[in-house]
Amino acid sequence: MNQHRHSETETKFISAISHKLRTPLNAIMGFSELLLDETYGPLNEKQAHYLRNINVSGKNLLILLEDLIDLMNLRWGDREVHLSTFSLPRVVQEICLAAGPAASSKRITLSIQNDQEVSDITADEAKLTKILQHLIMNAIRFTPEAGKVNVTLRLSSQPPAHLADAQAPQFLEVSVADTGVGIKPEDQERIFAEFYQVPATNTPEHKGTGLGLTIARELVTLQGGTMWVESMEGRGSTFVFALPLSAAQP
Amino acid sequence: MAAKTVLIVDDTRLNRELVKDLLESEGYLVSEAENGREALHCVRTQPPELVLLDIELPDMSGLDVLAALQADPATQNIPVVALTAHNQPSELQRFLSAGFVACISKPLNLKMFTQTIATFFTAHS
Repeated sequence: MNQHRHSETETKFISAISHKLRTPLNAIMGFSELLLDETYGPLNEKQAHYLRNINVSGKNLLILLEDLIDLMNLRWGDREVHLSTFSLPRVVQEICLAAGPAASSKRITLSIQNDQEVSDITADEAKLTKILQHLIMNAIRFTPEAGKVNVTLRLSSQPPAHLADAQAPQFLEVSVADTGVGIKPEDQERIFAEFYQVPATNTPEHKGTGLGLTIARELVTLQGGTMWVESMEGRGSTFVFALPLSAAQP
Repeated sequence: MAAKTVLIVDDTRLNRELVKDLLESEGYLVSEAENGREALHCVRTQPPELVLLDIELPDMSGLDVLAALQADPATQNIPVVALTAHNQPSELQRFLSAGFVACISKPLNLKMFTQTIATFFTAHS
């Protein structure tokens, strides 16, 4: 009861922060976009450049706010798992479609491998979507021009090595492999800590919030699963997560 | 053809200004209200074709404003869109169940916003 009330207070607080910060962001992003559209007359190069800086900073602040809210909700707020039956390939395709512009701006090939023809699964769709969004966007961010990002879907009746003790009728294993810069062995655990970014990659072109992997892993753990990374420096990284599926496929 | 009329209700001046300037540049006729009572007064004296209503208002909530409009036969058919900085799916669902015809989250994506409004007028004309 106490625990429940505590969580309700925190949820209200988190919701209030989100609301308060979104209001000024609406003005920052909206007015800069209105000027950038040259609704009120042409801009010179410098003016357009500064306005784009303001607009992009607003967008980045919104992404940071959303990640922070997600993390706060995970730590102190709504930790419930909401199960439904949905098509996993559809979810992955939608995320890849949304990530398309970011990938094609670096001529990165995004592909989905689904040899087992995994289709409907019963899991928390919203949480699974968030996990995949973070992993796929990260892979694109850390992969250089003309690289590859591949998402592989697998189902197994045996628990994967990282979940050896788990019991469930089925296990879902999803991996996101990139041909990016790779991660040194000593960084492979640290990258899951909040705000940690490998120093050499903490450059404008790799900019992220430093929260994506923390959120993704906690969302996986919340559903009884596990997430790890396999990587070699200079050869790319493969992020993998495995989840027990509580009900068999319908 | 007469310009389409929209009422924007928001207690934050900058939000009203943004929506007004944006919609006016698209050819709409926009009026403003900064609280619930003013909104109800505007709708009753000069009924707009569409109301964009914030949820957190100083004197009453957007949900109460909507309920008052729905309770009055003279205003019950005017469509009301929630324009809100709330973005949790459960909250948005609550607004839709209350009778808002759509929910648009702030910060606004301007292109998507103007498209939604345009689609709305096409569908209801």
